Amino acid sequence: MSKFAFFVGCTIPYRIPFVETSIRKTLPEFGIELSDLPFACCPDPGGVQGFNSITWYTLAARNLCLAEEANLNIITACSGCFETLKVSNTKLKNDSSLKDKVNEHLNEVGREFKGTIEVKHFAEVLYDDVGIDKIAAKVQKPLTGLRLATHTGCHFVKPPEILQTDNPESPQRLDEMVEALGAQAVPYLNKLMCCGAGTRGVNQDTAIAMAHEKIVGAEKAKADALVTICPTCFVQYDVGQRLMAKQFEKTNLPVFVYPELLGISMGMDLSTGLKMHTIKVAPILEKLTG
Amino acid sequence: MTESTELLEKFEELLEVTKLCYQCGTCAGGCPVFRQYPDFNPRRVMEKLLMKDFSDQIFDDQQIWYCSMCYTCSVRCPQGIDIGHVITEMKNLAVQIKNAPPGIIAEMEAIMETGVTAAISKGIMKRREQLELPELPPPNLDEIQKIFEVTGASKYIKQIKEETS
Repeated sequence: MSKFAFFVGCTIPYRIPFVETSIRKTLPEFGIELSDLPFACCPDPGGVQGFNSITWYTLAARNLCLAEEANLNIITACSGCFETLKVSNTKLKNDSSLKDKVNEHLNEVGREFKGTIEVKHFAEVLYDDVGIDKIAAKVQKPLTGLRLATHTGCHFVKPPEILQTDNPESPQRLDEMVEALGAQAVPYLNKLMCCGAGTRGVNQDTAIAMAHEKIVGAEKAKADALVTICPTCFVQYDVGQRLMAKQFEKTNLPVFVYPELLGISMGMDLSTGLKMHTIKVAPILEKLTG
Repeated sequence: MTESTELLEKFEELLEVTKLCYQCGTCAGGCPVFRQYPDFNPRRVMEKLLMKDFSDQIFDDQQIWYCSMCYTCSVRCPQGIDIGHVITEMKNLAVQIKNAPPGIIAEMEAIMETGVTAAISKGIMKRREQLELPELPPPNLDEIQKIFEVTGASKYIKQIKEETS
């Protein structure tokens, strides 16, 4: 059993909590224990870093301190949190003048960044620490015949020199992870493109138009659903399709986060949460059972 | 060092980084925002920095905030310029001259007041119950607010709100 401090973030617990359920139910099946600490917002790598970098580093470092004090590595449920915490942790460990500046601010709240822990994304833990073979071995109800458009998202892979998870220009891991469940990862137009959430703070229409390009690409490739490992991307694609319908022709592509598909393939009952999606996923579930 | 000299030095650093740019446009070619909103063009942002052309007030309008922080430009720049980071630095400077979109101010205030970005509604708490999710340990708001204060964020929020009210 490996124990982690569970960094659930803001979007998951307070917008799409069913994603939290899928993570809390599946990860322990692979020997991953999740411990809740009083974390605050990571904070947001776009808005807060853009507003004031030193505030961003200091708030991130405060979260890192909580995990350091508990002597636990962090596992993140969200790619935005992953980027913020891993970038901050890495830079603070390697840049002593930044570390001194941040620690000067942290001293005001009685904390000190020491650099004693690591930060990992749940998909990284599943791929690297658990491994594809062990994931495949847990599958009881393979997702046979399901065509999936995989969306890895930006903040799992970029900046690559720090995050070091997958090839940012040709990510493969999520494809392998869905194929381990018996599904098929289909190639589609704009697979690498950003979901647009980062632009939401200044212009909702542009952000939604960006997400729409991907949904259209996935539909053209005859994907049954889109799957992601980031809650912010999930919101753009799932809730976002309702907003897209105001600007574009209506689409109806079900969207999942990977742990939901993992749970379904392991035979878990995630029905309460699956009913909370904006785009109904029942047709997919019927296809799998039918 | 006064705040304005610090601002100027930061700006000079930014101009130094952009010197390597030869305006090939790879950044714009891969930019997902530019595809939908051509007024945001990372090549043009770099060009303005190179030419020190601030005629259309590059820091005063809200164009730079359209960057979605996907880092595609940073990964693809043949000169190795971390363009996404340059734009982040520009946003920081814009904040210091009192310019940030209302959506960003709202996000900063939410974190300062509640510790998280999302509104914690009754509806969502009910959903958490239905999903049998545990109660999350609350963050220490005094610490968050103190950090906003000592890193200057509170002051910038106040300045921008005064400017726009």
